[in-house]
Amino acid sequence: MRKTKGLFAVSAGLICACAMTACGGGNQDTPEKARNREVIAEAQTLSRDDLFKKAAEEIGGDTLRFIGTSSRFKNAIDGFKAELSKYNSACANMTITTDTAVDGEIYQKLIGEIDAGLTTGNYDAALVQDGYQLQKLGLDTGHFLNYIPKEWSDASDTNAKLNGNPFSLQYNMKTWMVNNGGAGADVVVDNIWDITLPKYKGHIHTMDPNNENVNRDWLIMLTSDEWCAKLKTAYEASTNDNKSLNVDEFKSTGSKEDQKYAYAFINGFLQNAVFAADDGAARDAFMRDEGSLGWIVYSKIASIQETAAISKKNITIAALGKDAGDGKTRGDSEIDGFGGFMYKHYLQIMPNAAHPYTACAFINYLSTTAEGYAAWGKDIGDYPSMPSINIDRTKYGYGELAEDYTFTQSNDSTTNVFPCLNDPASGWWEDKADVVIEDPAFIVGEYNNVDTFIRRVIANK
Amino acid sequence: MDKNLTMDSMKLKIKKGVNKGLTFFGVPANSILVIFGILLLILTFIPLIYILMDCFTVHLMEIGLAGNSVGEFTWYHFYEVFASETAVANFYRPLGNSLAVSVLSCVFAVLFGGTVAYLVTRTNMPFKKFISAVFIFPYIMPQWTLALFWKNFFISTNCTGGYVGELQALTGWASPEWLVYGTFPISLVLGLHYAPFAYILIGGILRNMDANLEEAATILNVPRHKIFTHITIPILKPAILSTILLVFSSAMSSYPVATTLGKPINYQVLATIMYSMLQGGRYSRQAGMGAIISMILILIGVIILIMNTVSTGSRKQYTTVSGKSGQISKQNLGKVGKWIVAAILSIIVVFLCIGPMVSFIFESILPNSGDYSSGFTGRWWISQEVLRNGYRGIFYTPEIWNALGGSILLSLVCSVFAGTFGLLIGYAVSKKRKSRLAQGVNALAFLPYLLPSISLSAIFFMVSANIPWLYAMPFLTCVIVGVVKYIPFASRSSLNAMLQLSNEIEEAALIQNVPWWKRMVRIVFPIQKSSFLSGYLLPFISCMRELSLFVFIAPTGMILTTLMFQLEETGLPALENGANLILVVVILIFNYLINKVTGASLDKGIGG
Repeated sequence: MRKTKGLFAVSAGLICACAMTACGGGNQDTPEKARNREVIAEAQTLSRDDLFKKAAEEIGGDTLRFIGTSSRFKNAIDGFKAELSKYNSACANMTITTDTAVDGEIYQKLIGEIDAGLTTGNYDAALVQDGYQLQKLGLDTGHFLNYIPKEWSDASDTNAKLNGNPFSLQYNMKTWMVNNGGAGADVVVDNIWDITLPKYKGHIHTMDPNNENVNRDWLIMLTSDEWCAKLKTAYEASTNDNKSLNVDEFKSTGSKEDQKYAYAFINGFLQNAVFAADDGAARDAFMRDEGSLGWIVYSKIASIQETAAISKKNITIAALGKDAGDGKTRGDSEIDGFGGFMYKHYLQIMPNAAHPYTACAFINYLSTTAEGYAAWGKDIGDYPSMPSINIDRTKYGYGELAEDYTFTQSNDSTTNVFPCLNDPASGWWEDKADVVIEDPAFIVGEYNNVDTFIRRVIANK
Repeated sequence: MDKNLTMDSMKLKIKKGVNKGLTFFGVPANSILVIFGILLLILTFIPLIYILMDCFTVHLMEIGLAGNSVGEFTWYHFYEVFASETAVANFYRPLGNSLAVSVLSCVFAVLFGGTVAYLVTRTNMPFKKFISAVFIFPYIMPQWTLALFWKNFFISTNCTGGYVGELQALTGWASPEWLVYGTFPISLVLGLHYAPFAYILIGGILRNMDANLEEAATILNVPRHKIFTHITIPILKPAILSTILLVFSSAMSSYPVATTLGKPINYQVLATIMYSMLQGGRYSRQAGMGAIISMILILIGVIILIMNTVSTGSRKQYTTVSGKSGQISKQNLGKVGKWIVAAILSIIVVFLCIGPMVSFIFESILPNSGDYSSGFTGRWWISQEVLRNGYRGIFYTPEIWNALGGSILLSLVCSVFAGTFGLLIGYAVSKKRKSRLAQGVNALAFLPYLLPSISLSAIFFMVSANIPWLYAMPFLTCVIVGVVKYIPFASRSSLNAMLQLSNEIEEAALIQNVPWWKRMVRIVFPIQKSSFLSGYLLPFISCMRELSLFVFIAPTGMILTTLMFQLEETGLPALENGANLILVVVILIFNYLINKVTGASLDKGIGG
């Protein structure tokens, strides 16, 4: 018995030691963090060439440890290595880790390392998403370091207030889509309140907000004054087919009168939604359910293969409308309310990064050069925070579809095969389609109230 | 004088103590129990204490809700789980669902696995080899494969978010929702997935048992059903209980099947609730609530474990392998009957075991998941051009093959250590099963099975992050966590085998002064080879297709399952399915090789 007690005490001691170390991260700067702050401050003033020179000296043939919620960054590695090799031939042997994790797991890894005080073998930088966790775990704790490339700051098409701190690489978009295949040919969603119609119960395919934080962040954003007002306008518009919905039922749910529109919408959406474990599964179910709606990451439809039964021709992006033509010449949005939700991919440097210059240089390469951003630029639904480096995708649906279902895209073609792929630039989505844009600070402020409401609705549906 | 006396008595006491210790540790079973007792105590109590602390302390993401500073004591999580307005939906209802699913899964697994084991080992039914070989497929395949097959086959326009599924397309009959989503399909699929447990454990005994008792009863004109209920079933009791223990615990914590066949209708079990709460590891906003649900799952498992320990520790224990010769009697199903039974069983097995396998293969050559409208395509395997995100066809993507190598290596190392440790623990526990130490070690060896994989992963990640040299070797951390998690498979399998083995066999060698290791290698192991090898194969199979356990520890390309997430995220589900198929094929190849080299395999041990 004594032996057991002794062992128990040893185990407990070890745990407490680990826990105490874990809690000791705090806001105080470690020598590494203080040095990295200085490096970043300097890097923000350096031109790309000068920064790359410093990075090449620093990394040589070593490894930059990088992790992301999107794995596309791995396509930029060869180009980046080639750039650094111009200054230091040893960089031809450098490596960049290509680790990927979902938005929940990535913070456990990053914050776990920081709390443990790791200074070797830890991540140098990361591409993260979910403004709420970033704000609470990375920014409010003072853990993550922010770097803004000089080229980005100097550019005329960037918005430092919106995307500078925390620095965002790009917007990703979730948008409303309709399956107009077969029996669903006549389904039109031209007002956001149509989503709450009882006829769509069990036919809105999306991810469970309990599994995907950004799908919760969006709902929280709707409770802001700006979006409550827009929801109210849409509710009163003639296009609203669900005017009988009693929004007053939610009068006392929020702290402000107009929040009843947000809570009524959240409730209606969640009641009708069918949850999938991931966006791929939601997309697959949506594609087979004729007349159904999807609230899915826009880029997910790009990987659908054309077959006799499944076709992107059947998809209508609600904001673009059924016959969406050239995205460059688009008029207004086809849906009242809002056309989608833009959540961000943030690039952050870790406090104990062993290669701060290289981390800054890699972030610079990804966010300010067309070559670095090309991996995302080729896909619909991704929009860089520096729009000038994006690829024109406004005629991505134009081209020829062969009998064997092979599609050859061509900007010169006049045949609009897949209207849903003609993706306008981010400016159109922001100005004309009124997309909701993620704001981490607002989400953190409202999180507790709205999160409780969301969990209650899902639990009791 | 007095001083000398005291010194002498001290020396005598020390000598006595040393002698006592030498005698105690001279018995190999005692040494094994002490060593593994200490090791398991540390390795299982570290995560347990972490989980307990999470139940009672404020986490970073909960500041403002549960308390004002990290680590502060709080009852908040308990209130949220048990007494808040969402308690019914988030705890009580999922608890009821979990219990219903687990009980039903046990019923299905024991009935299906046990019946097939009986037919294969104790009747003259034809096609035994085929049925036996194919029957283990559902266990080898990832759980969600069978769930997805079930959903694709039965889904209909009657279901929430439903569409015309395969059965409706073929027959026009639209299945009701309860057949596609909810308690029944989840239980059935889990029961089928775990039926090989019952098949292996029950079949192993049926095959090896001495038929003297049954024959004696037959001579005394005891009716067949009475022989079955009064002789066969009691002999099978330890195996049935072990099966129930494994299936119940596994079903309680199973996540993928409940998600596939429950999420669309918001059907929750404790595992799905817990998984979403712990997805962010210890920094999750609901880590405290998740920890409480983990503790409840562990507690339920411990109760089952105690019931099992009481049973295996009681006198109602039967050795089935003795030194005397014995031959099992086979029931004659009749000339026509045996063919009818074989045909029915073959159809069921083909549908439930081969069907998902074939559908699984198809998933890697279909243009879109579940879309058969335009035939198949080989591009996901043979394309030399980049498909997406730098990935080519599977044959031309080195990351996949490197990760496969990593998975095989990790699984081999984990299975060798877990299998050997489990074997030794099973041996020692069976030899000393009346002692408290043995019962304690037996319980400790099973405890890791009850710890949620995702919690273990997060906890071992945190521990390794505090030990830089260990953190620099994620493979080693994966091995440690893998061995801890899979020891229960091996120890249960080994204990079952040892409990069947009569002591007199080893005693005969003991009288001849044959050393312990020789007795193990030359006598014990060869007799129960198939059961012991199961103790190596089961960890190997589980480790090959494990993700949650390594999710926070393994870098993305180190093992195949972590790379699969990247393939899915990239929009290449066919490559993900192809990678999964490769894993299954590798497992089958290993099973086959072990069969060829040693003459034993998962199914062969039973008599296919």
